Amino acid sequence: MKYIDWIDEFEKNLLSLSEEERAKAKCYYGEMYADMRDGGLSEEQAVAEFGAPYDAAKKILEEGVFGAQSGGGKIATFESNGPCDELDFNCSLCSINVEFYDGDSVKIDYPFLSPTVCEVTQSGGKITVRNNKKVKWKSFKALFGDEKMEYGISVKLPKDLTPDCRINLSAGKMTLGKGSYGKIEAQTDGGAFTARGITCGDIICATDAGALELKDITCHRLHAEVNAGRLTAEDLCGSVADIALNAGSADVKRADARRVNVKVSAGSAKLELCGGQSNYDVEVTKTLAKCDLKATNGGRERLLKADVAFGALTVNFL
Amino acid sequence: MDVQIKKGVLDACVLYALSGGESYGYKIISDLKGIIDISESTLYPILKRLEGAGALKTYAGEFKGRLRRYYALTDEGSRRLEAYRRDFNDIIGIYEKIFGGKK
Repeated sequence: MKYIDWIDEFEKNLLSLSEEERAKAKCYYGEMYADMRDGGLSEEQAVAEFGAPYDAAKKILEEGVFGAQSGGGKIATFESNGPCDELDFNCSLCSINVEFYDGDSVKIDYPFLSPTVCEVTQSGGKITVRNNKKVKWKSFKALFGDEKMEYGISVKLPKDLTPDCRINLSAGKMTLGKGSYGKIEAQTDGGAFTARGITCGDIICATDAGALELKDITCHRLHAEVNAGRLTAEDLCGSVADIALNAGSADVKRADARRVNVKVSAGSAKLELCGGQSNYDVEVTKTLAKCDLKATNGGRERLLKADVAFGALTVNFL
Repeated sequence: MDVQIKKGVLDACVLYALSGGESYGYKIISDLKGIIDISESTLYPILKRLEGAGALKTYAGEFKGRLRRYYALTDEGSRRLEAYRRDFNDIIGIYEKIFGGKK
């Protein structure tokens, strides 16, 4: 391995450290490398003396001697500086739990040791949480087995905040706890996204293969899209509810919205809609689907538009 | 070797390597060869830990047109090294009592 490749890989494993500490560690190895070369070692010999970049980084992280960003163990704590109006999560193979508390700042406990080397940064009012996308599948068991809490990311928000949340999760598990948010956008490629007891502006969530669980949601617009996987929802209240199912299943109970758009390309969807059937205008487009829904004119107080290509749609009016 | 004991021994070795005067990473490792095997990856956290504890001070000096970081003992570092010397004497005494001439 070339030295430049070694140091590059080494730095990638130190993402949880501040830029300054990373620079210091790189500087140390840079000086050591230069001294070894002066001492007559070849590039390959010098790099071989360093060992694997991951192991070298791990030794540094395990020491926990880096003050502000580390907690002296495997979990580090980030504390926000100034107001926060946006949270951006870009993570894979980890569990993230968001809840509100009585404190004044955003507090995030996160793992800073592999396999889930994580970095938390703040730029103005935006806090970004991202972890090492190179997490190997074999680490999954460690994450969701007995040690899951050790590797989880815990986010605590002050009660007076209503931040926008943008979530991009490749596998893993994310839970948004009870409280008020601005706009929520969640995209999961596998894994699970759960939101309970939420009041927010818009909530837009999609999963490619995974689970969306929405419970007790009050919002302006809800958009839930399942390309494969499962949507379970209860007690939804809003102006507009869009539900799109490309495959998989959707089970929505007690949805109360003035306008409901449901599109089933394939799979099975079951909806319970509040407001009384007589108050709904119903527009239905069917192709080869199993759907007993009939078009009706209910006076335009509420509108249900259903577009069902294949699969099945069942609607019960409450 | 037990992790805590090893940590103490390594700290003592690095402090000892600096007791003769300021030094730098590669030289510390070279000077300790024959006493204890210490790798580049092991040394860095030790230096950071000792620096954080106030046992070392560091500065950058020029060498062959590049910067090199030098490490030197502080009074706290000297005090720690002396404390390690006393502790190790105690440990040797205990060892003799427990194991006698047995290896």
